[in-house]
Amino acid sequence: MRVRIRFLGSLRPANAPGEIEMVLPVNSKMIDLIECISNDYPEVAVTLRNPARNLIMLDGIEVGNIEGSETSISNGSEVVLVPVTHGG
Amino acid sequence: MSALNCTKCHEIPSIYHRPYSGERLCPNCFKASLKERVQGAINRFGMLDHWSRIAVGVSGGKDSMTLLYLLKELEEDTHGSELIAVTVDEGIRGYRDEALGIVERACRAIGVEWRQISFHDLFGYTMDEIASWERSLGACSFCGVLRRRALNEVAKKVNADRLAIGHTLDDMAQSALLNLLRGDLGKMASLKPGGFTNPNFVRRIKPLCEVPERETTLYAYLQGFELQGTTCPYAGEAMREDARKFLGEMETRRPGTLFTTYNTALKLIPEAVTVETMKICKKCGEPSAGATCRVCQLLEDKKKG
Repeated sequence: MRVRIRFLGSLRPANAPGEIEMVLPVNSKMIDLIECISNDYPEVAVTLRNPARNLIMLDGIEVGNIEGSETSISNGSEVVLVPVTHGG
Repeated sequence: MSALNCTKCHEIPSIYHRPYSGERLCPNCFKASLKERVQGAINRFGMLDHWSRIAVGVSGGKDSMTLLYLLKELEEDTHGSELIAVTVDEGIRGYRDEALGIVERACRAIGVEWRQISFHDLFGYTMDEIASWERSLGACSFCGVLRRRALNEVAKKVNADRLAIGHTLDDMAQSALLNLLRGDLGKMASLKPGGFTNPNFVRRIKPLCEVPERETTLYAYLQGFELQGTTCPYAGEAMREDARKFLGEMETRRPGTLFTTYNTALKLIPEAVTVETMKICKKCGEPSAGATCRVCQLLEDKKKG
C-alpha cells in the first residue's frame, strides 16, 4: 500500500523533499512506518523514535489519540511528522 | 481507523488526546481550550492591566508564535491592550536568519508592529563570535544572559509596560528542576509567571506557563505556522537539555509530571524568595544584583582573555 509522508520543520531530512511517498506492506502499523523512515533517513531517527519529541498526525489525527505506535495505517493515508523542537 | 468524539463538544471527532487530563479534543475545542488556559493564567497571576502595552518576545519558534497569535486573539476580544512583537537577533547564522523571515511574515499577516534588536548592535558581538571564544561557560549561558538584557532593552524602547515571553509548561518545569539540581532556591522566584514590578525592568510575564510544548506544537500545526527547519547549533550544550530529556520521558511514562513539577515549584516560591535590593552596575549603569552586572562580567572575561 502507498502512504504519503510530509516532513515538517527540523524533521525534514537534509536529502529529502518535504513530501514523499512510501510503499508499505498491507496491515502495516505506525511503528513499522517509523522504522522504515528511520532506516531511510537516520538523521531523524532519534527524534522520530522518541514519542516525547514529535507529533505524528495520521489523516489529521494525532496517533496518541488512536492507538499510538500500534495504530494501523491504510492505503492512501497521509502521515505528517511534526517535531516538538525546543525553542520559544 | 476511527477516533472518539470530542469530550467537550461531544459532536466532532477528536484529533488529540491529553494523557494528563483524559480529554479528547476536536481542533476547535483544542484551540479554544488553549486560549482559555492562557486567559486563566493571565487572570490568576494578575499579568496584565486593562490597558497594558505588551512587548511580545517572538523568536519565530512555535512557542512564541503561539503566544503572539493567542494574545492577538485575546486583545481583539477585549480591545484593551496593545501588542508589539519584539525579536532579538543573536547573530546565529542560518538559524536566526530563517526565524526573522518567519516573524516578519507572521506580523505582517496579523497586523502587529514588529521591532528587532541585535546582539551585535547592543554588545558589539554576534553569538557566533561569542561561541568561538575560549570559554568555560556554555554558549547558552552567554546567550541567556544577553538575550534577557536585549529583550528588556527593546521592550523599554517601545515603551512597553509588560514583556510577554513564550515560556511553556515544559520550560517552567525544566527551570524548576534545574534550580533544584543547582541548589539555587533563590532563583525559584524568577519562575513566578506574573513577574515582578521593578522600576528598572519591564515586567516579564509568561502567559503560556500552563501550556505544554506538545500543545504549542499542535496549535502551530493546526494554524499552519511555518516551522523552522534548523535548530540552534548551540542548544545541545545546555544542562537544560538533560532536564528536558528527563522530564520528557517522565511525562510520557507518567502523564502529569510537568504540571506536578511546576505546581510544586510555585509552592516553593514564597519561601525561596529573598528580597534583593537592586544596585546599579558600575560599568554600564544597568540594574544589577551585584556591583557589576552579569552582562558586563561575561563580556569583561573576554576582554581579559
